[in-house]
Amino acid sequence: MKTTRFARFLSVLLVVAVLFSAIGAISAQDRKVIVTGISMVGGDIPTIDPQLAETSASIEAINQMFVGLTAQDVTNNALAEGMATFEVTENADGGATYTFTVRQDVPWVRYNPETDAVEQLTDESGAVRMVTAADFYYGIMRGLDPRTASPYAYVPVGYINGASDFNGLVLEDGGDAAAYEQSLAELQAATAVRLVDDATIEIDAPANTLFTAYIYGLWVMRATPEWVIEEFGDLWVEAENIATYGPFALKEWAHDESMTLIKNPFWPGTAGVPQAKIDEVVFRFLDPQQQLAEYEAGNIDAIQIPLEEWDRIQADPVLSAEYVTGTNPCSYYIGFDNLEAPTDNVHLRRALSYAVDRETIVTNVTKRGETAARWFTRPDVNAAPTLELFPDLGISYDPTKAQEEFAIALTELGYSSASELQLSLSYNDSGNHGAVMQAIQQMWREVLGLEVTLDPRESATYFASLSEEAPAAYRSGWCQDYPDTNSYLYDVFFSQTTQNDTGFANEEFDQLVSQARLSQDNAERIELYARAEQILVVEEAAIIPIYWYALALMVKPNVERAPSVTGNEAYYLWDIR
Amino acid sequence: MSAITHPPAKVASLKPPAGQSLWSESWQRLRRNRAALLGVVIIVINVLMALFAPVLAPLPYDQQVLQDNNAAPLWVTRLFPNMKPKEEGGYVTISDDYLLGADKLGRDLWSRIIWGARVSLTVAFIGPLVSILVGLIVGLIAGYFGGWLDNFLMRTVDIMYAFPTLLFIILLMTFFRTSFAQPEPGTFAYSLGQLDTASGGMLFIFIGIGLTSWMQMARLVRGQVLSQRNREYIEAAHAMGANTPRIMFNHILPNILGPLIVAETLTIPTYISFEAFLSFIGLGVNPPMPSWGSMISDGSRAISSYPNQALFPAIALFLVMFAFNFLGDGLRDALDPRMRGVD
Amino acid sequence: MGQFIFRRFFWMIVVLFFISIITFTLMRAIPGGPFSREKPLPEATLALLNQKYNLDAPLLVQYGDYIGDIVLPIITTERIRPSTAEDYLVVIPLPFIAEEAALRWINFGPTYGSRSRSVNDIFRENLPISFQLGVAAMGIAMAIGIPLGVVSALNRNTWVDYMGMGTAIMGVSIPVIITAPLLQYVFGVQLRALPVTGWGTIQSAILPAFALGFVNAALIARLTRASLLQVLNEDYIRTARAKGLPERVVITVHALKNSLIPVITILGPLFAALVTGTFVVETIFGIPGMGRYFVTSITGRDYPAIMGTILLYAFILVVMNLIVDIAYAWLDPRIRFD
Repeated sequence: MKTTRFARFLSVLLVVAVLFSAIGAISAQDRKVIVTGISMVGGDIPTIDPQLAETSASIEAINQMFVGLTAQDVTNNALAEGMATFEVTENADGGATYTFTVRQDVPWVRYNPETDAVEQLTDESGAVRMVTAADFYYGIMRGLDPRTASPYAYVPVGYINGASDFNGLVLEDGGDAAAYEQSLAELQAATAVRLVDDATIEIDAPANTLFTAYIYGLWVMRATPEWVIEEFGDLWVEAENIATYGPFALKEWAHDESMTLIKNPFWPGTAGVPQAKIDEVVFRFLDPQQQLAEYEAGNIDAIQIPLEEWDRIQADPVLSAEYVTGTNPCSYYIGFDNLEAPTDNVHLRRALSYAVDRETIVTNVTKRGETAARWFTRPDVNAAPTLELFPDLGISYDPTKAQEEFAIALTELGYSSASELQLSLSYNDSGNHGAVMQAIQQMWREVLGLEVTLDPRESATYFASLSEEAPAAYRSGWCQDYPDTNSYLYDVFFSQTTQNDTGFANEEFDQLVSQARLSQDNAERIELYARAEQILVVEEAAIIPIYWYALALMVKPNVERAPSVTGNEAYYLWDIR
Repeated sequence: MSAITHPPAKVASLKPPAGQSLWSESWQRLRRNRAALLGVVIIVINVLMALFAPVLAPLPYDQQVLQDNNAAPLWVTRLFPNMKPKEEGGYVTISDDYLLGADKLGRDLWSRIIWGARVSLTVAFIGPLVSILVGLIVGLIAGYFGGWLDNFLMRTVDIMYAFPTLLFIILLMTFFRTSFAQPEPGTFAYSLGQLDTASGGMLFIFIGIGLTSWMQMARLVRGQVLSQRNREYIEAAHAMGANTPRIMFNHILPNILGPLIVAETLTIPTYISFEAFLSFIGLGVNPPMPSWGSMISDGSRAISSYPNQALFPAIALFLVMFAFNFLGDGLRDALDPRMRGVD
Repeated sequence: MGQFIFRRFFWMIVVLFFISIITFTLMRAIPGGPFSREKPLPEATLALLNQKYNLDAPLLVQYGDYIGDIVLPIITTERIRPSTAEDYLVVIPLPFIAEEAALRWINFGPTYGSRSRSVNDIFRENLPISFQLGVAAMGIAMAIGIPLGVVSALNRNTWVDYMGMGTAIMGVSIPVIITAPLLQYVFGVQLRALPVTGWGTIQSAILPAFALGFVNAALIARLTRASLLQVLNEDYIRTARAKGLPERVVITVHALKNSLIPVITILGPLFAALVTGTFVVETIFGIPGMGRYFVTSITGRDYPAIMGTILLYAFILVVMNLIVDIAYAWLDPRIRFD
């Protein structure tokens, strides 16, 4: 082994690296830089390609660099101005046509390491390339094109006439490639997205709903640079190739380590997405414990609090003052196989649900500001029932009712005692799920005298098995795609959706969520959804709602965080005092 | 690992009686080695602890008192000064119900350490057993018969040997854990899965460890057999009409057992830390069954808030590893006749 | 010698071939796929993804395609569009055929975990970091282990020996899942003496290298001690002593060199184990090495990354063993290659 020569080479490298980082530190002094780890738990960001993104880390990074046709006021879920203004008109076949007028003053940009500045990109003739309706058309079509295999295209597909046939066309193994291309071209033409001119794009939706405009702002439908993607293929998202236009540009992507975004001075700012106040934001990819260690060492400005250290942080006068709670739009629940014995028995499902002491779970097991859930949809999304309006809605811990229901269930199922009932509780063995499931196991034992077996499974196997055949009782969770109750009740539990693993199908429920979907009156929608929730979690007890997630963050006192309710941070609103 | 580099025991005797004197002599030498004896004592204590866990453990290992999550007795907070009790403006719930404290679900750490001894010690004894069994069979066959069989077996060993152990064991464990999770009742896979569930997930850990660690043993056995095969006592046994298995098990085996035991004892700590590693990456025993490895890996996540949760099981693990290492060293010194001249 | 290396090289290919078959079979037998999600993807999207990554072809064809991409060099005459599916480790320009022509070889395929990277990218960017960490840890292991072993052996059965071996046994008895977070907490968080996480400076390498190296220092120390004791008992050492050579010369010139032979034999596998055994240390110290990929590639069913990492490390292991064999022969002239 040439250890010595290698070591010498190594030390030279290291010295150079130290020098460089020292130089970097000096020049960075007067710039506003925020180092964050909030959504960056669990390794590298898989991609920042808007049409391929699916994880929360990817989406957060994309939101800083690409702005949608519509945007969302991240502090309150209201619709806000993004890259376009729009109007809705009724069209000939009873649907709605959305006409978007795209801003004409936003250039494509890229960071240039040689000048250490974000620069506007030009075309062959030297003219600045502006973001146009054509770039949105390209982005939308790229997302829908089956050859892109976008994992998130299925969400907008239901809201664009003709998109489903185009997106769903698969080339059979050994099929005729030329014929495939031909039918793709035809189906693309039949997809109701029309590029009218450089400023105008029209989309035909099957109906006018209160949330379709949010869907058109989703990351899969953002503008992407055709000429860059043509040239660099998969690698177009790397820092040296990418073109972006939002409030930040990509400065550096050190895979598996960090990503640095730099302020884009050419972003004009809109009502929903203003210009960035800080100069740089650095995402560091670290596990939660290491994030906290770096936070305490003063090297990271904002992190998520790891559960294990929660008690200490709460008791510490300095650290607890830096604790910030926020909304994380997800629900945690236990699903039942509603079709097979013994969980096809509604009394058993209800008994199990009444026996779960959700308050104890959120105070003693999950701890970090979660809310004990009484129903499925979290109360702060659009058209969702709230605890203030509906104090008696849903289900909560009630040992007496649990025992009554359990007695009925045992009789109906033909068991003389609880010990004859065989039931297992399945979950994916990661994170804190094991602790929550063990706590629930003990609650069922204490309240019902029922001994269930825990069935921890490896994550990928678990998720695959859920869509094939749901276990009798299983842990699950749901995070919204857009801030509307439709993203919860209709998208997950409408009897025809692919997300519904429980087998729950209720005519009245289907009718209620379909009606609420099309209604233009949010007050009416809330009433309809409240009734639907009552069916889902009490009358049918298809699932056990456990808690609504919260974000537990720590932010350094000199950093001003914008309270986001979307589950993603909007760093263009952050500032340093 | 190191035992390989030692030459085989030079035993040129015809009958067991001569061997017996070797064993008793070795025992004498071992008894004089205080460190090894200490190792034996620690191991015996742990074995007793594991055997009598139901009696010794003050509380059931899976009994949760959720309100007492992360509780600790006063003396523990004195031992770790950063664990300030709530009464003194800190964050630790004080409860004297738990000798060493409670974990994040309010389960008694001490009881879980006692029960956890079962997993670590079973791994410590069954791991080598599996590896010896497979290694012995392969090694004996290869060494004794030679020829193409030897070639085939040793090439297989070479291939398995080139497999990066850690990656292979993760792959194997994932395969076992997932493939035997929900098979049809009545099949072989189903009974294996049931057996694993009944053992709290230990069965697949044994199989995983066994499958990745027999190669060295096979090489060692083969080497030993080759060096014994042509000795006079084997020829004498042949002449007296003994058949092949009889020769292998009655004559060759006793004479090569010494180096094997030494080698295995020295590998035991590796098996124990394997279990800890598997727990760390989430492939360990099934909850709520405790193992030191899983307790340490859970606890290490809370190391700056509740150092007791990681350190106490770590001390238990350390003591047992320490004991097996000392015992292994002592056994080597005692059983390796080459060392005799040194004293 | 040349023939020996050639034969070993041929055998190495056979070994890697079998390893690829075992790994492929095992990983495809594991249920769940690379696109199993908590929010399940619709059937059509799954079909599209499988088509994109050639996962819909018969298994044997997939295996053949995969191995073919690695083993067979191809000659291209036009510029190829950058793609994670067509990223070659070896690219030799062939300007005499056509302007953009090149011979391309060794393509380990895309990784599903990172949509803009190939497995080759992981090798190029992450492997050097794991390698540096391995070298640093090995350096620490030898720097502590060999002197400790020698001192213990020379002072056999004295308190120096007991102390030395006690330390060594302690070293092998504490798993790295304890030492790593403990070192980080004490030196990084409490004392603020060293960086908590990260990679790139000498300071940031100290804690992880030490956490990783300590266990192996202990192994090396024990082995050095045992082997030196054995050598000191050999006839030629007695002869050297009888000739009246000074003890220092006897030890350094005659005994030490020979006693290091068994130590050398374990350095190969030990080094490979160091580079592969970095998962825990890399996770805890946030080092962008390859360690994370051993686990995430398997949990994420990232098939090309699983195959890539296993084949790469098998390759390193086999090569290390070969190097060790050659070093062995160089150190001990009595050894002949058969």
